[in-house]
Amino acid sequence: MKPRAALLLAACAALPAQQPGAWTWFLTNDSLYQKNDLAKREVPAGEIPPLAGEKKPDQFQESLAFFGTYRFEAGGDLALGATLRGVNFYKQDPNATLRSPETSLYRWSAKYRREGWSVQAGDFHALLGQGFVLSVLQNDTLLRERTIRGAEARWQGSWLDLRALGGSVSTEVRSEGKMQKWDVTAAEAVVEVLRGHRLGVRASQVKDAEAPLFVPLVGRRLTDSFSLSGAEVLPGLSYYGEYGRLLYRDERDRQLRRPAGNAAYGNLTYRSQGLLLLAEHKKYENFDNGMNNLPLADREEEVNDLLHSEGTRLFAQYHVARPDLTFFGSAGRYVEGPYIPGRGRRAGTSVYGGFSAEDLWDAVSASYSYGLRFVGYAVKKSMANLTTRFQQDWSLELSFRDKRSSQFGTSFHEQDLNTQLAKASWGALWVLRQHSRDPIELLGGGRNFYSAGVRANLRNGAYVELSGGRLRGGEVCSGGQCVTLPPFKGFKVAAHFQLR
Amino acid sequence: MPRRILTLLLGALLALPALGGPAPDFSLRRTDGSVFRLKDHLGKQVILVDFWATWCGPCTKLLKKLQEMKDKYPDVLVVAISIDDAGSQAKVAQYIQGRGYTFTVLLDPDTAVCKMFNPQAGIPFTFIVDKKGEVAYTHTGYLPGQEKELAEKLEALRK
Repeated sequence: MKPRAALLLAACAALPAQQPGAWTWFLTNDSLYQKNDLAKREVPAGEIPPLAGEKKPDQFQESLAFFGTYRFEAGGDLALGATLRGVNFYKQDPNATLRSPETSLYRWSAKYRREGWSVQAGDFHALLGQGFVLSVLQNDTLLRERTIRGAEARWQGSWLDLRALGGSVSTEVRSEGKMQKWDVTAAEAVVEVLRGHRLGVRASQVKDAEAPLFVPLVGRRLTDSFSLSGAEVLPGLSYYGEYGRLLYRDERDRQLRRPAGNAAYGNLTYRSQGLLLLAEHKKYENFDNGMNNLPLADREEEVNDLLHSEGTRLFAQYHVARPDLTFFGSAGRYVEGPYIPGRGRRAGTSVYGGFSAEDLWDAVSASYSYGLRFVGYAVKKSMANLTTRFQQDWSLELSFRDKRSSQFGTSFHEQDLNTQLAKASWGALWVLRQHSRDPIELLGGGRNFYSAGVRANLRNGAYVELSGGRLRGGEVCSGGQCVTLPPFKGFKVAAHFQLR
Repeated sequence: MPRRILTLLLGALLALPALGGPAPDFSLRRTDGSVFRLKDHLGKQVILVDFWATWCGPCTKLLKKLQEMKDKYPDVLVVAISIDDAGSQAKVAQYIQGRGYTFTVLLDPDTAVCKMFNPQAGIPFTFIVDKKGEVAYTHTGYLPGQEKELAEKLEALRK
């Protein structure tokens, strides 16, 4: 236990005795134990054995989070906050390439706030603008936690936002960033220039602080951007536009002739009654500073290509209140990838559409969508959901997902069917069938994967979950980032509770 | 590592006598860029707050129920806070405006406020602040029918 963390807890514990009634705290605990038989691996003769802590079937994750606020009566609206969150560890983490010590994690933060001012130190997330110059966020789907460990000062007023921050970026799973560490500094100012129109200016410096031998230290990257946005500037009309530049500042980068980057994103939305129209455009060239993640322009579950991508999309939606029906459709044209002499860049289209219906006859909800994308290779995707309610808080839900693609002459097919029976006050019971036709996954055995689980709701928001069976591994994408998760065979026990 | 966890648990248990107290204050931007401050409403009315995201299926189902609660209990302030990252904020506006929802929608793209109340950021996460400005109820997740429990809590706290 680090001394500063102990100090924070001790201070939190001592405060109520001095001024009862002004103290708020939350404690949340999540525990997960899983036994993954697929993690077992016999080491063939002559092969170097795995590092200590790897390849163990028993895996455990513990996350304990605490947050407290102390409000001083004497200072009017004066508040002091302290957060100590996250102690996670895996005996074998989901990424088999990692050593256990690298997944050890703790986070802490302390924040002082008065009126529009706030100052904080410790670990925090940061997102400036739409992620052009800095985006340091948590992504639960990918089991990724990035934070800045440093300090931040912020003013948030009715017409002016100011923000300045600095620190080093640490990640829970460091090898996701190729075991790199970065030092970052950034600042942002957003001002309302006319009624409803906001002008934003921001800049960041990202510097490689640590990298493994096989990854060269890039040096300093300076990124800046300005944005203009407006909400309801005319009846039903809103817009957002941002333009950014990326410059390499080190002499070595100049010698390597790294090209400067630029990026632009804009959208225009019109709404009238149940109709909504959206047009958006993006163009990114050499704009990856290692700490940014820009809008995808709705390419859904794909890696965001910040080096060479351009896209324009039109989206339309029509909603009827009674019965509650929504119809939607999207069509986009994309160009991406490096220029190849004689072939140009990869170009193609992406279209999808569907509908959703909620609470028909107060008992049935349904949705369906179908998408077709051809940018480099073809992907067909359909998703459906049917939920029926009966006996007030009982429900039966069927969820279906099907994705087919073809790449380099090989066909891939993923299909999930999840059936869930739930009683709101008790919990839920589910059975999941996964099907896969992926030559890589088939090496792990089997095309069909079955699993089942039960969740029991306890008092005060607590629950326990027991599940077991086989789960398909493979690439999982979220928010423009992807990781490959290993397959699973075994059982899991999870528990959650919260005190306040 | 287990020692670290044990120390944390012990530290937290030391603070147990301090149950109750005011809801932590926060300020966030609405989708139109204006500022919402919780303290302007604390102690004046019952407040129902829900954290959600456009990519979360149960969350969007709960949003519809929140609108029904706003219509049914006009004296209750209903606030839905999106934790979609900034790149998806066009989606947030299109989702809310396209369905004609009228409750207050706030943006928390770096989950700073969400983590104040729910450090694991599991969503949907719902809490209710009573008329005294204290957190009276919290819940994570949504199963069809759970809105009944929410409604019962609101009914009791409005009195």
